[in-house]
Amino acid sequence: MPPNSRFDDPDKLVDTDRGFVSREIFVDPDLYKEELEKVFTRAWLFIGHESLIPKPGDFYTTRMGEESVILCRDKQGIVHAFLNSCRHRGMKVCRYESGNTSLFTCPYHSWTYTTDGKLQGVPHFRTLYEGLDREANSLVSVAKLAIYKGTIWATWDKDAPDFITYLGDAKIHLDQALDCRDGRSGGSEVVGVHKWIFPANWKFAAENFLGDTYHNPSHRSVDLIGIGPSAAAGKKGRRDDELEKAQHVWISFPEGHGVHSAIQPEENEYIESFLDNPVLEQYFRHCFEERKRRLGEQARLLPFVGTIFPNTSYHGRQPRGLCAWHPHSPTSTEGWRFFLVDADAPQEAKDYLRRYYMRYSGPAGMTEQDDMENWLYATAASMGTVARRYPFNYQQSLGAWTKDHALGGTVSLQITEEIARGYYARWKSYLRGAAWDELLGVGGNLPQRAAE
Amino acid sequence: MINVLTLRPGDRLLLEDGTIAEVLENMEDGMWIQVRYLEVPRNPAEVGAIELCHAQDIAKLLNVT
Repeated sequence: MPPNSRFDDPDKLVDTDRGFVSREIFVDPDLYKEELEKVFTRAWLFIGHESLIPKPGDFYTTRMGEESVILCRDKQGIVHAFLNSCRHRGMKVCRYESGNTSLFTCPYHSWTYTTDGKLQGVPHFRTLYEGLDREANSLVSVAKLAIYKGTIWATWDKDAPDFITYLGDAKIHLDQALDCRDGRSGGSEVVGVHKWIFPANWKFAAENFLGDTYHNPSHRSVDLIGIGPSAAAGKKGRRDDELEKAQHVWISFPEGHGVHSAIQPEENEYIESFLDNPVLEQYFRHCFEERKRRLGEQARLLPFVGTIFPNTSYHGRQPRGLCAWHPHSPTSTEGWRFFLVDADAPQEAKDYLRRYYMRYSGPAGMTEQDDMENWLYATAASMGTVARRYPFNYQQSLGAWTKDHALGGTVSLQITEEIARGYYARWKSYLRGAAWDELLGVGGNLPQRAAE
Repeated sequence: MINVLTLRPGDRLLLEDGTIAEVLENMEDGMWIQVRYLEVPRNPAEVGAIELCHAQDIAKLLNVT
């Protein structure tokens, strides 16, 4: 934090011991710039999915923080991510959302890059550029890139730990969102992406999916209507009932991640969840039994929601997908929802799920609209001079947790804001410019785990 | 002005620095073609090199295949 900053002491902004977080971190432009510099240039960020770029030459323009990034597969099939900005005068070298190409040509002066990021073509190169080092003028590449079960993540920090280390014990929960419904590892594909901009701070969305079960009254109207896949059969609610007998767990991980998962009872039986469509009901019943057979006792762990620090959230069951909350300004966020299905699911299942996901989530999704209304008005109502004097209260379930649990992390068995407290404590570490061992919540030497 | 979209592999070009090059591939974006250098008066060591060549670098179309 700069010495002349109004917020020179992050402890005054985030007091997780007493359970207070200043509203300033949700609205202040200076703090927002600090976040871009100290969080979004260091943390691992979700940037896309392999199924969006299956062939050599495929590209998908994505974002890291505020910055446009090209995710592409070169002609050898290797996946890269580059800053979408020409090294000559900074113009975007790719102005399409997605496509296939062999070259990225800057529209300004035509400097041209191959799909591995190398500067290949420079007009008048032979007459105007004696000795131009093209290698040194390649597109700016991310420092590290990881492909994990189809999802693609990147960081600008060359000193960042490998992605699996970064995930820590949150990995098995994210796995539940990325693995096939029948228990096979990975195997998902993106069935659609929603992108939209809303006037709220990005952390409201990230926090929402950390396991803020307390906000459920917001969705009361949706629950009463019934928008789930058994709604026509008379079941109310938003999704299915498969977690109704489960032990819910809310876990804060030292890396700043947080999840809300569930452990099914020992007599882990299938609960009908797709009564409106017999094909889906049969498909998911089959997947359930296969998953139980494959995973045994581990099949009792089911995901609900989670956020991988700082801005990637997931829905593990329905509506299954990943969300990236891209910051636009202190009070504006671009939400990207990547809806996931098993790549080898029946087409009818994919189509049905896509429609259900849209009914639930995204800019027109009934549940997401409930959430956004909260984030929007909370942001707006926190911008005033008087409002900023009063911090948000995060005292729910203070101290009601254990670190002695097989799932690792700090586990709560009741609805809690402990995960949010852990998230903002880690956010504070980033703003202090902490070393990676602190950011991972470990002392001493950094444990490195082999990336997949 | 040469419309590079009309160039085909095998066409020979005179570039503005005196290099003679042969078209290998038209990138079909109206700007770039891939060429092999056949004669490079300024630096004969570059003969055989394969490079992208921009439309503005072409001085003259020598012959069409």
